[in-house]
Amino acid sequence: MNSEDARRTFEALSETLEKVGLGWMLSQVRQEIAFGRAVTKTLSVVPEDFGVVERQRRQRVRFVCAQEYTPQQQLALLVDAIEQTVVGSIEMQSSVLDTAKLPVARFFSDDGQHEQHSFTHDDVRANKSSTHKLRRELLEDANGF
Amino acid sequence: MASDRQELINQIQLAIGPGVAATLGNAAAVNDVFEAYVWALVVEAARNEGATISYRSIFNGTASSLVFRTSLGAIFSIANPYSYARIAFPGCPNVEAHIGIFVSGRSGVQHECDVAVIYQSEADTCRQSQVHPRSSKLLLSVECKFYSTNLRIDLARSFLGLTEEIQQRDRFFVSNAASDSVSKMLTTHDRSWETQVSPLDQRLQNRLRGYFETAFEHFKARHR
Repeated sequence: MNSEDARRTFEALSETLEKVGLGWMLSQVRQEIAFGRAVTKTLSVVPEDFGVVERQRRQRVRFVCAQEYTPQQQLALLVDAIEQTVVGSIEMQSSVLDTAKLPVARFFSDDGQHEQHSFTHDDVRANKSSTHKLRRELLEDANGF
Repeated sequence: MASDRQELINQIQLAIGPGVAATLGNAAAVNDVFEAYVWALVVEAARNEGATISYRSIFNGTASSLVFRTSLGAIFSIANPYSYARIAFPGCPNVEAHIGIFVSGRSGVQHECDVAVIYQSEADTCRQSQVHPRSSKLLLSVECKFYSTNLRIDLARSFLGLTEEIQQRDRFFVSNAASDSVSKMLTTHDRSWETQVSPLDQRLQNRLRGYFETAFEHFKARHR
């Protein structure tokens, strides 16, 4: 996939994620892109050794810096985030209910009485089939980045 | 390429129906699911080590559904019928696995534990007297972090501070995401951690469960 294709796919996926209410995930990905990829660089520097009069030898020292993500790497980050968040979370829900052998998990806020969110075996079953298809699609696409 | 892209977008739209969007609609909700998942790994580890597990509601004994907090709270809170797992090893004092409770640290201030395994006797005392469990009575605790991208280093710094307060043995930093710098920092400071934990990676999931099994094995050994 060339850079232009990667850029277009990223934008198209971003629009979709915003529409379906996963803008928060997109924000995390955009923030990561803004920070850049942490890499190390080895530089040759003169040590700050004030007591030494003789000619100082240069030392090779490792520094940490940030490198810009390429459009392909940006797309790979987004696809990985979708896999982790959408596919991974549904599998986690399944794992919780399977372990406890109880039909539903409900989440409440301590400062309010109302339920914030929940999931049941039926929800998980229904969501699993579509997320499995999505995972296959994502894995296939990831090979092309 | 345009048709491949459209196919991927179609699959995403199909996969994220209203049900999925309702559960995953914000970062906090996904983190709740991650905490519940790690809690389930702790429970499985105890079962693998020979414990009998029962699911309890704070109000009426046996739980018929799982009820968890979306934000951290007190173990004695009766705002909702919260659930926990009671873990019984033969010949050992009972312990309980909770999600999202405060504990008191060495300096006497309260700290947050995303997943906490504490002695039942301590939990009973705390529920009756409306106080937070002491960190010395924590058998195991887990700091859970769900991120869609790489972890930032401040999370490792916070965990180092937390473990100064609530002890270091069997205190785990666990995330679905990765970060070389977080792993490096926690390893340098000899803390227990696992990253990239997810049901999508059975090897790492099993390795983490194995760490929890070891913690329970040591617990049993101390009471033999």
